[in-house]
Amino acid sequence: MSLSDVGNFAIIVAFAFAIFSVVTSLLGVQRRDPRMMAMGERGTVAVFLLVTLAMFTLWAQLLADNFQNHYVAGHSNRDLSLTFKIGTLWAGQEGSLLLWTWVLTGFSAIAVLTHRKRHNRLLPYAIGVLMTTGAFFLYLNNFRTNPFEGLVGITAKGAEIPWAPQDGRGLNPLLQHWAMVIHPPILYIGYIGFVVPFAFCLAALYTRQLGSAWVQMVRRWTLVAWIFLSCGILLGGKWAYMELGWGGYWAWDPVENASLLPWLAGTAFLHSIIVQEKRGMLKVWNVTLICLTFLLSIFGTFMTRSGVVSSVHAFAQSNVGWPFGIFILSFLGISTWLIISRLPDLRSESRLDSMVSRESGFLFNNLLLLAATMTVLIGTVFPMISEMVTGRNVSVGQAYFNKVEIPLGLALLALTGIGPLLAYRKTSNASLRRNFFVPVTGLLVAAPILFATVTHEFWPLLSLTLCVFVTLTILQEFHKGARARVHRHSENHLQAIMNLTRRNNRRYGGYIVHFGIVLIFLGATGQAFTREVKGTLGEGDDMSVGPYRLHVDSMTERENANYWAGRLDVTVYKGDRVVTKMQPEKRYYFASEQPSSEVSIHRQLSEDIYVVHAGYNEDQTKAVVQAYVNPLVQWVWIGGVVLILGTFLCLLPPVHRRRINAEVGS
Amino acid sequence: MSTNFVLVALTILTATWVLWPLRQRRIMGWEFSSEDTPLGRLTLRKEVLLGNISDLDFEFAMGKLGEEDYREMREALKRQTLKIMEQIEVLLETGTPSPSDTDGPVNASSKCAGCGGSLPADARFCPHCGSPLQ
Repeated sequence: MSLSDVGNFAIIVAFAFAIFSVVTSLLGVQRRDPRMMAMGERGTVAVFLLVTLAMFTLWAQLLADNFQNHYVAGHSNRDLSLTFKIGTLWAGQEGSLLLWTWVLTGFSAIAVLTHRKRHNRLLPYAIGVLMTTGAFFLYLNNFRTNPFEGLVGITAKGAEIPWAPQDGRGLNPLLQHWAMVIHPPILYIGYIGFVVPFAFCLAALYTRQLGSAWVQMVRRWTLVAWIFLSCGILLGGKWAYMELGWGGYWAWDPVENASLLPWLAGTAFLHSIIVQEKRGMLKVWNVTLICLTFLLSIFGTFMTRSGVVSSVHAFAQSNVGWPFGIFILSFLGISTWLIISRLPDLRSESRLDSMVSRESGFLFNNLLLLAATMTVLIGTVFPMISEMVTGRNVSVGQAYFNKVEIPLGLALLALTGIGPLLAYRKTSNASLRRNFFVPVTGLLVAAPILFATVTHEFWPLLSLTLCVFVTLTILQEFHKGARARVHRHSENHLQAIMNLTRRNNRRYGGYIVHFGIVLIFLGATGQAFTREVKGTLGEGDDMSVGPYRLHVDSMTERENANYWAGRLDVTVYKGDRVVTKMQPEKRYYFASEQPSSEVSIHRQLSEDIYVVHAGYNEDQTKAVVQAYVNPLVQWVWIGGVVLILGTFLCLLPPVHRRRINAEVGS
Repeated sequence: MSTNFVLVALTILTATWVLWPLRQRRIMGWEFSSEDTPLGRLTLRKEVLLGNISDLDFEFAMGKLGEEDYREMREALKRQTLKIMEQIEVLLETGTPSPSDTDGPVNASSKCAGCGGSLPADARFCPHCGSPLQ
């Protein structure tokens, strides 16, 4: 018996246990039989353990160069480094979907272990949803995209025997990058993490337990999923920037959009649940948003896995197209029916007192994020729709996304600054004047200065001005909060800021996340000022880009077992001063027989110098060089780190409020 | 052959572990966990309201609210919190939640056969004890 048989055994038994868990959990809760519910819980954990066994079986085959396995033969080769062999597990469709199942069942097992004591009313229904999703993916793993299928040869007598090639076809060179080793698992954790809030939401809808309890329960799960999704999106951008060699990190590619869609809907949900927790409002919004977030996660996977984006015909040809379609439509139908049938239970406990209040700010935030989600979705699926209607695959292109998403993004950025300045319930005119004075003054001072010194273009100018406005808002919030603590608790300003942040971690963690967003917008605005040149250079030749002069010192070659590389040694000058030395490479990978460009980047906070060895001229004596000056790009990554730190702060447990408790109690 | 044996043994072991709860006697009168009970829900609501008062105090101290608005809103929140605290006391003393502790509109004529709690209109489960209402 081979390792592939062990893997096959694990996923088929896991499939059976997933169905078993759905049946026992739902029957158990209907009959109020704790034994059946306990079996459903144990079944969920067993599914995870079995899928883990399958994962390690595939890894073992990859590390052992078992090319009899078609997945190993198709995506790996003997000379691939250990790190990339581990990452090969998610380089292809079959492996990626197995990783999906592993993360999904892992989350399900953790949900069971953490909620079985405290939330045993909703958990059986949640297990029903989790394991139905698990069973769906295990169905794909078993019957549609099995990573354990073996290669066979035909003997002279026509009999089939196991067969293995001498070496595999190798890993796609573009995926041979550190960011690609960690990017898919992180992104998948983000995608799949939303399944737990979705499962508890459906459970709450079904049982009509729609107060703030389920919202509090799923908030942490959503934050964890959101943090991973954010991290995954940023890593994807970082990989595209360093590996694809076109000078940017975001191109509104369908695969990128697929990750952005649940992020936008999830962001709206995270904001919107604050209002439900505090005021018992926006309940319909919240159940709709989390259902939408999960369905968009699945839809993103469907789009990228079925190949439907490149052509609708791929849908029918793909072996996962129909199952995904049926799964998404089924859950869309169930969610819609549950929300509509529970509308009387989802009525707000409070009403909107004023349009100038924090609640209305959250509502506008929901509307803008939903508009952004829908416009990205329409732009992404437009090629499919146009092909279905007209027979021609017409893409909307980057121009559409920039035209629609830039105004929406900037409106959201403005709201990031305005929202925190509004009080709950209502904000009086005097308070408005007081709260907005500093940020608006800053905005009015910054705008003409930026206009005179940086740019005359409308959108970049607006973006930079709003960055100033939001930063001042955040600083004012920290300053005023700290000042209030200094008066009350006789602390110094620094102590006050630390204690303030710890005691109000959700609010101030949120502000830190907002500051991260400001930095990302700052970095993204830099794209408007990118400079680019292309030239054919030999040894001793020069080329200018922006304020820099690129001088090719030498052209060398090197080779290892995996690839051949042609390297340029380039010195970059600014005036007569040497800024840096760069070494872009053009590589040719032997196993996959594919070329790849290794970009050389000189990183600075003000601007990156980005040099690509794009190939050779016809007689192979000179190199084709593309060079870019990309202002402010580093702030995108710094903003990402700030955003993640802020989210971690939001995840800390709350501090108990004894003083108010005692006061009201007395 | 030995791998086959290991896999069969693994299957039996996993199935035994999953089915193990069947060996236990059926637990009668099984209850939902504390956070899913009326008391759990009321305690949670109290915590939220206390948090709201604390946030309001903080926003006032930061100068985001006028004095009059602040006093009015704080009184309203205090009244709501006191009401919840009273309901918690009633629940602890009598073991039955007061009618206002329901998540939906109350149908006065309808009571749960299991615990006697008031039921919202269209309820399929009792919001107090979780009994299915068929």
